[in-house]
Formats: sequence, C-alpha cells, structure tokens
Amino acid sequence: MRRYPFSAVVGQDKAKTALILSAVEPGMGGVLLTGQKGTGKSTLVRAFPGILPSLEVSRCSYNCSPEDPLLCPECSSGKKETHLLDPQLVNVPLGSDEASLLGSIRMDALLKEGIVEFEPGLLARANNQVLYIDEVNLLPDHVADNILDCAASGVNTIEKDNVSITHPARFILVGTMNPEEGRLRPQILDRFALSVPIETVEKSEDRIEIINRVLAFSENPSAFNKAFAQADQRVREKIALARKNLSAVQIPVGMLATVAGAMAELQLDGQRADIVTLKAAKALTAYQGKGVVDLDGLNTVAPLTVGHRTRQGGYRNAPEEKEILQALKEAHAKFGGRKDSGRMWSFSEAIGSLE
Amino acid sequence: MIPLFQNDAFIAALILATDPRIGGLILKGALGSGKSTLMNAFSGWTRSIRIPLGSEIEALTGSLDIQLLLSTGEVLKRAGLLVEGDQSVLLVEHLDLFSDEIQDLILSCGKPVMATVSGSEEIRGRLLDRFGLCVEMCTLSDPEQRLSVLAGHFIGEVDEISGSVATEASRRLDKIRIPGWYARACAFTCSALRITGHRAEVALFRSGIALAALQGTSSVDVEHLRRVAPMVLGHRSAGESGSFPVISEIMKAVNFGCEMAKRGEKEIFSNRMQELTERILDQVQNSIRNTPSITQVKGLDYKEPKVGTLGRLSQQMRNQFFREVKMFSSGKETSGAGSGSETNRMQEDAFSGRPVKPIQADTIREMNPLLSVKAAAMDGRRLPIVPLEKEHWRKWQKASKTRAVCMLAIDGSRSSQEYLGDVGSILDGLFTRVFHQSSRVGLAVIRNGKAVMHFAPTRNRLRVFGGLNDLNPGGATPLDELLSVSGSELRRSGGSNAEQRFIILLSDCFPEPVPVGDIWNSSIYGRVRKQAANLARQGIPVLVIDPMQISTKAAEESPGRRLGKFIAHTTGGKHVTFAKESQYDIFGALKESAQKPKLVLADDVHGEANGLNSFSVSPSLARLFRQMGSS
Repeated sequence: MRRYPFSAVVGQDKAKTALILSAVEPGMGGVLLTGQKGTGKSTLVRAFPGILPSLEVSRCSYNCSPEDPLLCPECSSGKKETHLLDPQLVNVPLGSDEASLLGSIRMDALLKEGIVEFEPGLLARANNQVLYIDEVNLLPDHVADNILDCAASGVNTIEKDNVSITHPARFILVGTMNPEEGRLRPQILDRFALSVPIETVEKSEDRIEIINRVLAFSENPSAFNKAFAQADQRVREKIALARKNLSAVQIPVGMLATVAGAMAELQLDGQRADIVTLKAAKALTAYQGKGVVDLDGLNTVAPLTVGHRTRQGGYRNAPEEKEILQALKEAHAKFGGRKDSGRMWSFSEAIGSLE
Repeated sequence: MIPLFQNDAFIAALILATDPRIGGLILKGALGSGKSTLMNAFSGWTRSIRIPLGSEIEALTGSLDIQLLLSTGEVLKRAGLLVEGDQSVLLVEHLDLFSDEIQDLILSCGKPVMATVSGSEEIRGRLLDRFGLCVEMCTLSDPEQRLSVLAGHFIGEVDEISGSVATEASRRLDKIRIPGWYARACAFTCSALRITGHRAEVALFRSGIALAALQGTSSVDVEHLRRVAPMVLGHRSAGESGSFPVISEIMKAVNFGCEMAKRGEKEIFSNRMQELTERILDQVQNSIRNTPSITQVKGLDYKEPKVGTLGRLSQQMRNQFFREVKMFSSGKETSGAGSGSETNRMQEDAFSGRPVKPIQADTIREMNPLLSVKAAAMDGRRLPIVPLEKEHWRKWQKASKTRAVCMLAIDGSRSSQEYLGDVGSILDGLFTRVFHQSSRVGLAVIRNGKAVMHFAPTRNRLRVFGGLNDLNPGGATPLDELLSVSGSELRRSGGSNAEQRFIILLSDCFPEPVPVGDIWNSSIYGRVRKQAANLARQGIPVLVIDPMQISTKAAEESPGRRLGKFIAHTTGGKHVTFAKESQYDIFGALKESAQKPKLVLADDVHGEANGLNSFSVSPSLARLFRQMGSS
C-alpha cells in the first residue's frame, strides 16, 4: 500500500506540529489525536513515518540503536552489524493481548526442539519506530497500562513463562480515538505528552482541496507522492537537524518561571504538564532553528501539552486554549523577567534536624 | 533525580532504605507528582528488585525449568523474583493494576515493598496495612516550588544527595539510644487512636529510630515520633468505624502517648509495669515456641513475619492499661463514622441551630474509670467533676422501695457527645436518690442499623459505666430499632411486680437520616410510632429525656420534640427537657415513675410549654417539684 504524503494533508496544523515535536524529541511521551470519524486522524498517522529521519540500528529483532545504553539480549551477547532503518508504523491491533505486546515463549521451538525461546512482541518491534494504537479508548485497561508503562520507561521487562528479559522499547507512541466511543481514563490520558483535538476542516475551498488531493492520490499514487516528496524530505531534514541541536537549546529562567506560574494558576495535577510543556517548547525551538525558548513557543505548545489534563485531582475539567494562553500571558508578565531560580530545595532542610 | 519539595515522601523513602524491616512504603498521589521518579532514585539507595507490570505468578514464586524438563526429563525449580536475594526491596509501580492474587503474593512474602498507586483504584485496607509507611504526594500549588522543580529538571540545580546517606544511617541504627519510655509511647499512641492490629506500633518504633539515624542524632526523641507518625499511622484503619485518622488526631495521640509513657516511667508503672512485663515475656516465649516460623506457599519458602516482643508487649499493655484509661479523641475532624453521619450532623445542626462543640481531652486527668466519663465532659466544659466513689454509693437513701429494671437507650449520634457526661450523673442519681439499690440497668446503643452495644439490665454498674466510657459518638441511630432492642432486653430480663420496668430514652428524638419534607408523616416516624405503641401494649413506659436545650416555643413544636412527646405519651412515660441547669431535675421525673409505676398523664404531656428559664418540663412534673420543694 502506498503511503499518503505527510505534507499533502490539508490543514490540521496543530496535529502536524504535535507529531513533528514528538519526532524531534521521542522521549517526551506519546501523541493522542482525538476526533470524530473521517477527520483524517489515521491518514495523518500513517503518513507520519514518512517524515522520520532514518536511523542506524542493529540487525536484531529489537532494532537496537548502537548508542543505546541498554542493549537487547541478542546485541549484548555480541556486536551485530548495523543498517539504516526507515522507521515504520507498528500497529497495535484492537484485539491485542499481553502476550502479543510484551512477547511470549515460542511454542514451536519449545515443543519441537525442547528449548525455551523468547518471541519478541510488538513493543520490541516498535523500538526506535512508531507504535500506533488506533481506538486507544477501546483497548482493555491492562493492555493500555502495559504500553504506557513501557512508553514512559523506554524499557520492557518480561517476567513470565520461564523467561526473564529486559530490552529497550523506545518508540514514539501515537494514539487516536473517537471520543464518541468512550472516554479514556485520566491516568492514561495524562501519560500522553501531547493531545490534539482534530476538527473537520470547515473552509469550503479547503474541503475542495482535500477532495482533489484524495482523488489525485487514488488515481496515481506514485505521481502524487513524487509531487510531495520534496516537501516531506524538507521536514525530515529539519527534524534530523533539530534532533542534533536539541540539547543546545537554552531555556531562560524567566520561561521556567512563566510555565511554573501558569501551571500553578491553572491548578494542574502533578508536575508532568510543566515538564512536558518545556520539553515540547524546546523541541519546537530546535525545529524552528532558534536557540532560545520564548513565549511564542510556549504559546504554541501549551495548548497541546495541557489541553487534556485534569485539574484539582480531577474535580476541574481540562483547561481550554483561551484559559491556557491567558494564564501564560499573566505568568509571563509576573515572572518573565526572572533571572534567579529562587529558593532551592536542600537535603538538610528536607531531612530536618533537632538543633 | 528526586521529586523536590515532596519532603514527606522523600523522608519516608530514606527511612525505608535505612531500615527495610519497616516493611514497606506506599506512595499515593496525583498523576505526575513524581512517584515513579522517587522510586527510581530509591533503587539507587539500596538493593532492590523491580516487579514489572504484567508479571506472572510463576515468575514471582518460581517455576519448573521447562527446557530442562523437556530435554532431559529432569525436574528443576527455577527461582522466582521473590526468593532472589534476601532482603532486597521489591519495587512495584502501579500496584493497583496488578491482579488481587499477585498483590496478595507480593505483600505476603515478607519482603519490604515500595509501591506506587495512582489513586484511582483503591487498595484494599488489609493490604494497605502491610505497608509500614504511606505517603500521599501532593500537587505543588506554589509557583516558586514548581519553578524549583523545573530548574532542577532543566538546569540541573539540585542539592545532590548520594545514596550513601541511607547506607551510613543504617550502620548507625544500632547505636541510637532508645529511652525506656519510647516503646510504650509507640504503643500508647496506637492505642489512643484505636488502631487495629499491631503492625503500626512496630513500624512507628522502627521509623522513629531510622529518622534519628538519618539525622545523625544520638538518641530518639518525641520530635522523631511526631515527624514519622503521620506517615506510619495515616493509612491504618482505626476505631469501630475503621476510618483513617486525620493528622490532628495523630498529633494528639502522639502527644498523649509520649506524655503517658513518660509519666508512666516515673509514677504509675514503677511496680506494675515490672510485674506486667515479666508476665508478658513469659507469654511471648510460650507463643514463639508454639508458632511455626516457616510456611509453605506454592512451594515457596518464606519466613512468617514475626510479631516481635514489642508487638506482643504492646498488645498486653494496651489491654491492661486501657481498660482503665481511655482517651476521648473527638476532635472536630473526627468523624467516627462514614459520610452518612456527616450529613446527619449537618441536619442536626440545621435543626437545632447550634454549633457542634467538640470534646477535647488531651490528657486524661483521672485514672478512675468511673470518672473518665466525667473527665470528658469536663474537658468539654460541661460539668464539674463530681466524685463517684463507692462511699458515695453507700450513702444511698433507703427511702425508695421501688426496684427499677431499666434500659438506658442512648441515641449515640454525634450530638450525644455533648451530654454523655451527664448520663453519668443520671445513673448516679438514679441509684442514689430514686430507686432501691438493687435496681438493675442495661444499656443499648444502635448505630447505622447495627447494635454497637446492648446488654440486659444488670446490677453491675461498672459495666454500664464501662459501656458509656467506650462509646464513641457519631453515626445514625434509628430510634425504632433502639426501642425494640431495649424492649426485648427488658422482656428477657424478667422482673417481678415489685420492680418497675421502664426505658430511659436519651435522645434529641431525631431519628436519622430524616428525609426533608413532611417529616412527621415519613415512614421513619411511622416505624417509631409503631414501636412505641408496641411498648405501650407491653406496659413499658418510656421516659424520654431530651438533652437539648431548647427554650423557644417554635422549637417546642419541632418534629423531634413532637416525636419525643409522642413516644412518652403513647407508652405512658414522660418527656423531659434536659438542660444544663436542670440536670438533676430528672430525678423528680424518675421519682414520679418510682412512686406511681403506671403513670399515664396524657393531658400533661400535651400541656403547654411553660417558660421556665432555660428548660421546660411538663406541668405535672413542675407541680411535683413544687410539692417536693426540691429542684
């Protein structure tokens, strides 16, 4: 099947931004796209691997990156030769169970040859690629928990069936869901770093453009792809460059304080929102080729990183975009000029003393 | 990296790393509050094994080596995670997401466990109790604190702590000086909170010492207990209702426990503790001899967690000591029951328009069990202490020939804490001034549809006082059940013609919960009315004592008051308002019952409320007082 080009998707800028940010900084966490049927969620996600830079990985069942401090059982027993991998989409089918995700014992090897051999699951295959869960809200809770736990730690540990294996599982998690078919538990929702509601394109000329492109693609996919190949290639190169420059991006204390102030004002639970917002802003800054995180960057990413998070222990609904931007604006006016990072936590203070 | 400003969680983790025998730490908290981050830091401080989500039971307990079995036919057991290493701490993220079976297994294997739960799903109380420490990680609301967290994360300005802190502290553990009162203070603290089980005091004991070791002090002190007590005790079910103690209660209990324990060292325990301790040590040795220490579970050998000498000692001390002394912990936050009682209380308040006055008793001033009811009342500034001693009883007036067989039916709802102290006076007067000394009295308290306590009338007044002593106000009291239990206890106790059988109903007559609306015609009232009619048929008068001080005429017509009057009227008893200044007037009414066993004064009951200063009695009672010339 031919892949629809990423750049050929009309509109949906926010979703595109979210996917690009997660491509620049895969360690940030997953991307959740919510929207009603036929809004182009799946098309966008299927197009997503097209903008991912290729990667040097070992020829093992786990796509280990040679730079990864944690190697899979195959690579740690001896160095494998490497090849360039174009990251692909690893789909989690709706009926997946724990065994197919985490991996399981190979029955044929066990019965025919009498050896216990581990068959890697989807999480192993997804290492350094994209793990895609369609209809994430329909996945059984324990399966979703397993995936998100793994996505958060980047490591999959299997303790079952006579095997005890730890392997890297660093993937970009992308989930889509149709909110009409049921809600997602807040605990799972919070694990997604970015969330974008996808709306139907309203403008009629955009709608016409969509029809034209879809028709053109189905008539002659290769010609269509060729037309957009350059645009996709540009994005891919920008992402590759941004990954290199990411660590050099500076976050001024004023921006840290702005985020801290805004998130406190919004009464968001936990510190995940703060951290993810800054990580995303950093990724955006790198992608834009700039060196210092600024308020514009925060304004762009905060609705994506905060818009799905509960507040006050779940008593308040997630903040709306207007509210987020307002909070950022006020916090920036108040804290934006700060130079020092304030009162530091100290060990001796925390442990206390009786003197 | 550790989550900053979550000092309690941080200290709890260090305490566990210092002394894993404390048994475990469970971290609760909002999403993204740093539970996992702390766990990752913890894994660097001490030896630990991670139990991944999705683990199977066989991986934990050990299983047969299938490969070997199939290839050579040999049976060999592969060790599971739970037997590897001796005292490594098990790290379990999302404990609530594991199956019940695995949760049980992890928590019963006797190893220390550090676990996180996201708070959405409840951990069963029985399992919660296995954790020595429990800390809820809060969301930081202060922008400054949030900024520091971010600065630590993105700039790396953190006061680094090395893993050696815990290791060094654990080396110091044995060198910490433990004062003599310390173990008792732990036991008393837990007893004062009425915590079930004995894991709490052992964990409290060890945690305080571990904190002292972490701080590098030479001996363990009250301050250490105060710091660790909320982490150790906050998740233990306590009292009859099994609710979790709030922090103010815990602090009160620690103060109380330390004070009692220190005092005991000097005064109370000098001889008795010696004797007690020896007896207990005997028992401990016996029980250790008789319990198997190794249990087989699924082919897995594990040591039964021992209840050490401390646990048994504290149990004994608890039983002995608290038979005599009881702490009244009825602070404002003390619910004593679930949310149901909370709404009832609010209804009560809305009805009576009075604020609920909590009884405060930081220390028990009197060791005499008969006085402790009054001590509580005194701390609530309700009554002066009236000594209630045996000599006092001997001065009973012989005048009365009527023997009473009486049930004291107490509405133990929250408002009763205001007048429980007065009940002592009523009983006192009942046996000294009204009835023959061989009268019998029983007690019935119903709460939330369950009988909290009820026993048939007995001559043993100590038992009644003890019962009152153990009473914790709170919860809904269905009056119909209370009346029916009291009635059946009376019937069961028999009685001759020379005896007057009656029930004293102490209640503000507000059967709970009461639906708003047409209260009087509600089914709850209907049931009470039916029950009163039953009692009337059996010839059992009910003396309704309404302890609430209500002086306005409007209140006189309130549904609660109406119900009280109705019960009294139907059964041929009396309805008396029991106000502060008039507490002893109750004996007038009791005398009346004693002198005229079958009192039915229907018109009086419905008589108009007179305007006696702060209380009102029925006209016939007022007349009686005037005749007797006493008040």
